[in-house]
Amino acid sequence: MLKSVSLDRWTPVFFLAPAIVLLLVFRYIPIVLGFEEALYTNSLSQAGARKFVGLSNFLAVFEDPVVWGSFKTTLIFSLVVNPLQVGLALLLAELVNVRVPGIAVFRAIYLIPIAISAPVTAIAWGLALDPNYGLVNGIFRTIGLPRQPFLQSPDQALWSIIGIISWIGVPYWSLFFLAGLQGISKDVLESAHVDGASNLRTFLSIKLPLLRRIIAFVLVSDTVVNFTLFAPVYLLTRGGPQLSTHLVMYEAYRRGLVYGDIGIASAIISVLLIVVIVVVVVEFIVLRPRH
Amino acid sequence: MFVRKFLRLIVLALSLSLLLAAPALAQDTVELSWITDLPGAEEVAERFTEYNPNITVRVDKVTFREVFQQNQIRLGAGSPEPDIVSVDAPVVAAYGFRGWLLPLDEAFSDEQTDGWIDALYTSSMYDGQLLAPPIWNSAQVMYYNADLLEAAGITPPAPDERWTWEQVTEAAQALANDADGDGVNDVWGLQFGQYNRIYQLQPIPESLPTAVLGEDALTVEGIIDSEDWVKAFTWFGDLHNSLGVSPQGGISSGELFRNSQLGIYVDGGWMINQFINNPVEFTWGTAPHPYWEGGEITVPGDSWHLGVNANTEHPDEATEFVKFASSVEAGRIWFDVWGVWPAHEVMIQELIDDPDNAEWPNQAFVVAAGEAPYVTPRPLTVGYLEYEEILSDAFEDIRNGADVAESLSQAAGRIQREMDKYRP
Repeated sequence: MLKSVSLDRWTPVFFLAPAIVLLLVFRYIPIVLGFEEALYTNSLSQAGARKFVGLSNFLAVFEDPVVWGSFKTTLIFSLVVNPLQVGLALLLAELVNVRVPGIAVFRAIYLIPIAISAPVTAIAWGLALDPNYGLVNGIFRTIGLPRQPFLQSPDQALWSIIGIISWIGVPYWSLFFLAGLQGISKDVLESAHVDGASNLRTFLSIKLPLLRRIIAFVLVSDTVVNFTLFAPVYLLTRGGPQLSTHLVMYEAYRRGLVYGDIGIASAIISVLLIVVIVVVVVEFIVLRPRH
Repeated sequence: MFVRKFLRLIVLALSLSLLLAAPALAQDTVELSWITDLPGAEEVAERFTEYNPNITVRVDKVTFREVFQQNQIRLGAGSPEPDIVSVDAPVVAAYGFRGWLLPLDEAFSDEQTDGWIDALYTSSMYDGQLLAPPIWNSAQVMYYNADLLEAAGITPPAPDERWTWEQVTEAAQALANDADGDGVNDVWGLQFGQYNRIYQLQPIPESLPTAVLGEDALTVEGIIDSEDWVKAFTWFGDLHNSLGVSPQGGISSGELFRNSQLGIYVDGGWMINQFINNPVEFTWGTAPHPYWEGGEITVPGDSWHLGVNANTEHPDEATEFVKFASSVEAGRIWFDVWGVWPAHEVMIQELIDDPDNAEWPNQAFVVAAGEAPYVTPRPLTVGYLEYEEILSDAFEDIRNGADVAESLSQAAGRIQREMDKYRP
């Protein structure tokens, strides 16, 4: 009897262990190592040795206008891109949730961007947005619109990047909302219909509150993904023009992998991690389920 | 029953193969690793193994930008791999400063080091030690599309006629046209091969003449934001903006030139072989690298060097390979495969004297070889990685029409902050 109780107690641990070990090895230990690395410098000492410098890498991060600028750009970028993607994804999910003939075909088509890898998408859009030879300017010319510099302009580059990543992000996140919408009981929707609620009223008063958990999940995941966005900036703009797309991850990459200053890069990433945690906690509090 | 028997057989086979492999592993076969983007690397490695059957070289091919990253991540972490390190000439000092490379002075005879072009020997050294022998060199020349020039009413330069940038600008303005009126030039006047890298753009200020780095090798403020630099890059910005003769964006200048969409194109001598082996459909020519009227002649040069990882487990074998890869024999392999510029005086002279090169198009090699005396190495500073990367930002911004003085002054501030870290 006793034996079987102790087995029961350990069974969940046994099943969870692989996931916990993987999380530890690939997430938590690297985070701790990253913080530790931020306390050292290896680029200023002779013979490639590591030197303990305390918090001076963090001080350097706070004193550097380029790093500050990259945090500012990343915050502005996040403030725009996260609500935009979540809003559009929700709208898209609502649109593809209707039952009309052929909707399954459309549901397959709008998911195609997800199937293409982010770097390929970035490169393809980079070609399409070329100021001289790009497809988009070709279309603009045909319909009589002036040519746009897109990624070559400090006023348009960040918006172009937002557009490119939303091309993948919106259909991807809409999948979660679509699953949520399809999980809503038909009885609830039908009774609302019988009571004479309009589509808008049904969406705002029934669907949205029921999707609260999913919205929280999607917003938090999207926030993390976008705070750590790297590939399109690396492939298309290299942080320019005039630092307008210089996001934190790109600055950290440059410091660490181009200049070889792993200490500063780790400090930047550590600060970014703290910022992300704060933002995510706030999002969870605001969107926590109300019972 | 059958399954158990089958499994037992597999286990037996595996243990047997391990037993058989053990003596092979115990033999003195050493595999060296090398990360590079160089065409011809495999050929050089194979020839080396023919002479040294106990040493093989694993060539890991990556893109140009990745060579730096992949090496720097590993070297910075103290990894024993790669054994052989591809070192771009201007970063010899940066790698040397960090203690990443093994000094090679004792392994190289005076005969071998004296055979290299002087500028390349200089950039192989850091702190008085030979760290990274040169395997390549480079020389830039001006390529032109003679058909386009003549259609624009301009007589192309003779093979030994060095145009001034003023002449080039005039020709570029005559070349550029938008015949179909779609707002994008059908023919562009002038573009550089590497239009956002200091390697290619260094002669623009340097030929004025003006300095590209302070004498202490750590000062850029007051240098790269000086009046001369602003003057040089105002011209560069105007080409892309007010004059509209140079294309903006991430274009491939080589492709535009090949498609007869670009009249004048400044790029490395390595393009000559490509134009000969894969002929273009127009009359092309080469001329010496342009300079400013009344200024100095300076031509971008230097190229890849090879070093030995300070933490390698095979220092002797890796040094042996570097010795071979920087020899005249390997220089001939590099040249045959890629037409890349040799690092050896004797090979430059061979190119000039070769009767096959007396006629066009091989004569182009002689034009490029003639640039060797004007080759100026890139700034030798431990902060070169930062210097190059941040200047690239400024060059891109200037191409896109940003204010030149402001772009250069911001770049100077950013680079100076990084350089100051290296002050003792």
